[in-house]
Amino acid sequence: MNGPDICKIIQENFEKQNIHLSASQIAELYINTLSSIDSTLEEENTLDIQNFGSFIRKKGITTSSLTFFKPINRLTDRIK
Amino acid sequence: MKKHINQRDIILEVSQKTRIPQPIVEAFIEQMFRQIENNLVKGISSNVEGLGIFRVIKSGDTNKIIFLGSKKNIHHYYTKETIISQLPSKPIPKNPYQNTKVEKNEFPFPSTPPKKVVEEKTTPKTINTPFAQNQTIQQKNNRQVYNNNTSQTNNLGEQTYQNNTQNDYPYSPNKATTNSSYTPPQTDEITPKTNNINDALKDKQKKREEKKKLAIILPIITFLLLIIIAVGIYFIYFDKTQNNTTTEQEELYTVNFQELQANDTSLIYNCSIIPNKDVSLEYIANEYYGNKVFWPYIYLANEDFLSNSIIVKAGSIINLPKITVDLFEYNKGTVQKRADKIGDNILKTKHIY
Repeated sequence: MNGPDICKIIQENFEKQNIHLSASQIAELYINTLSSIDSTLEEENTLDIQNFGSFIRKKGITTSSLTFFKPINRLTDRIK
Repeated sequence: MKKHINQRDIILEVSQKTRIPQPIVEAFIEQMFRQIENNLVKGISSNVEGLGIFRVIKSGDTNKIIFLGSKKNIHHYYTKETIISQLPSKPIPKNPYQNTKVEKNEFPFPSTPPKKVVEEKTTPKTINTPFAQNQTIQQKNNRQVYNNNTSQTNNLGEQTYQNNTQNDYPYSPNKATTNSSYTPPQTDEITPKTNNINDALKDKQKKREEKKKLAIILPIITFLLLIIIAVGIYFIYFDKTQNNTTTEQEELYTVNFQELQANDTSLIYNCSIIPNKDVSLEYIANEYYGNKVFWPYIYLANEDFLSNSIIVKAGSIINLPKITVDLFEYNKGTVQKRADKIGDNILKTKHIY
């Protein structure tokens, strides 16, 4: 499942809740959230997502960088 | 400096950029990560371009989450148009954040005004008969009351209603069209008279309130005035009676003395006096010596005659002795003390009480 598939599911869920968002609005939301997450991680800050986990990016000496994800205990318990 | 950034900051930033309300942005982000979680639980991998790939692998008996972060930004993968092309296109309703099934009948405010306002179209311009005058005034009052009620009930249209009181009904969707059944009154004479009626009512209410206040204050003021008058009369009358008593007392206690020159050649006595009333020695001392303290000297000079009384009866002859007083000692008070001692001794020895 990729990004647009996730956007479709989110749009359907919103319509079930009587929230009507256009395709452009959904696209804007998706792109802007990911770009803001990317910009925060670029500053080597830790991003905490509620009920999901935390992300952190570490940059090396060269231009390459690694993004790490630490899930919360509830998520790991669900997957076990 | 490394710091922990909350999901809230992301929501604020996205809301500012997209101009979509924050609750919806928050719901979108939650939905996104919830979907990723559901996929992981089902064993489906999620490829979030710009962030990374989420995958579940088996490690022995347990499952573990693997995350491979993407090295490129979301803009490298998608543009807005590419995502839109992949989403199902649906017509955008006018109010995207409300129920689209709202019809005109379900609109909270009626499109046409009620009948009370419509009836005022038939008001005559010229008013001759008093009955017609009363009728028009009643209609105007009804409209005024109606207008006040609508301004109270409708919070959304309140400001517009206040600005357009005369010429526009605020809740009709066809404000600009002329096909609406409601036509506002075009005469300018109505509104000043209605204002006069309201002012008259307000004046009446004010007068009633003032009357009530006067009804409470006036009796209090009159009561206070009566008290002041009574006190004044009492003092005036009492003073008059006192003055009368003092004059009567003065008449009672004014004693006339008949003076006789002393025949005594020893020059001990100044003179002899005969009072016309019973009088005390203190009175005589006060009259002739200027101080009642010197009464013992008069007693000693007439001791044989007076014996055990200090009151001289009318018609009796009293010799007044000469008394020399050192003024220095008189100012100090030693003369008076000496006279008091003599007087006390006389009273004790002669048993005069």
